[in-house]
Amino acid sequence: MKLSTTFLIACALIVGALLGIVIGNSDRIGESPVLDGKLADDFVPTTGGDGSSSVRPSEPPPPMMPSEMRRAVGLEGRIAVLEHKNRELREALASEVVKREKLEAELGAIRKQFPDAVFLTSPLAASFAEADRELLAQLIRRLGDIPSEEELRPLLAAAREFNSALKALRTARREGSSLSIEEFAEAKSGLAAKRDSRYTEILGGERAARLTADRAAELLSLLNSR
Amino acid sequence: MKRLVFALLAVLSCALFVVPEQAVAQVPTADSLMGDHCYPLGFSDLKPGASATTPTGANLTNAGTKSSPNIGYGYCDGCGTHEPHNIIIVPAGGVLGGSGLGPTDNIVTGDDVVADLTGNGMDIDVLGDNGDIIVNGNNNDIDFMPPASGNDLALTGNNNDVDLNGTNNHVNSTGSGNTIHN
Repeated sequence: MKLSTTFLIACALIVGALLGIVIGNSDRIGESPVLDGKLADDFVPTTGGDGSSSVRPSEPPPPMMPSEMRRAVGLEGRIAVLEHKNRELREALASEVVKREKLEAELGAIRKQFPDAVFLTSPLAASFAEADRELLAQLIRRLGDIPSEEELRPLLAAAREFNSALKALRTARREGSSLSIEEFAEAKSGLAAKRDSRYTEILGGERAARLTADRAAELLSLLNSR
Repeated sequence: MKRLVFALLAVLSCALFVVPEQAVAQVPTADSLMGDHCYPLGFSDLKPGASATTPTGANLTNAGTKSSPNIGYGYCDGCGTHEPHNIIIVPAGGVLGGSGLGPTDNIVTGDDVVADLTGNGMDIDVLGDNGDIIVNGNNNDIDFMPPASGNDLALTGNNNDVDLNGTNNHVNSTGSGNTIHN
């Protein structure tokens, strides 16, 4: 009689444990992102302070050892295999994101170092005439970045207008006009001021200052500081 | 303890290679800009409308108006392999008139300058864009430094030597024996 009671208690415990497993698994099936077709929901896109995007995987489940996976049977085993694959996919995607960000950083450095070369090889450059392309490349070289198309066209117009007016002024002086050096310089200064004012309107003060920075003035400032 | 010492040595070794490279990057010096190894002994600003005589006897005039920039000039000692000489810098929009200039004068021009220079054996470096430079005299050495562009040089003397680098720079020569290298 004593043995029979112990046996019944043991049986009740085993049945209870099995029921618990079945009920627990049924809950997990409902929540599984894999079986619910929500694989991509595990990835939360974020935007960094510099505007770059990255992918932050959600908290991964505790890893299952291969031996444990082999031991796992039925539905639980299949879920474990899918979760393992899910984890591998996440890792592969994160690795690709890192590679892409590295390449973008390298490309950014090249663009910064050779902005005019990047411009000249761009499809946008093809929309400008050959002579204008060279003029724009000079502007971009001094500016240190590639302006937008909306900025490029008025910049080009301002530079062309200055060059054309200066050419006329030079021709007048060569052909024997009575302009003194002071008068010639005054006229030229007015043209340059108009051009620089237009550059400032288009690019804003800070970028226009980069465009009109004078190497000789930098040298003078350097020597004066010694 | 031994590992800690080795780690510190490794970090210091890396710093020795990395730090100097960053420190020298992007910092222009007078030597790198001028290609010269000498230092100015005093440097003065010539205001618009004013005139000055350099230590070697050249006469300089800032022919600009009040809104024009000052023209800088100074005297360099002869350190290294270089002879003592003047450095005359015409910043953007500067207007320089000069006479009595010679082999001891090194003139550097910026953007949109106007310069009318008379002398023999001068050294002129064109750094900026859209300058108008007239050189009256012989045996002068004029170098256009890339990326200088849109400058106009007029030579009225003889046997001058021009290195025409940069883009869209033009030389108009009315003398004889002037050599232009592209």
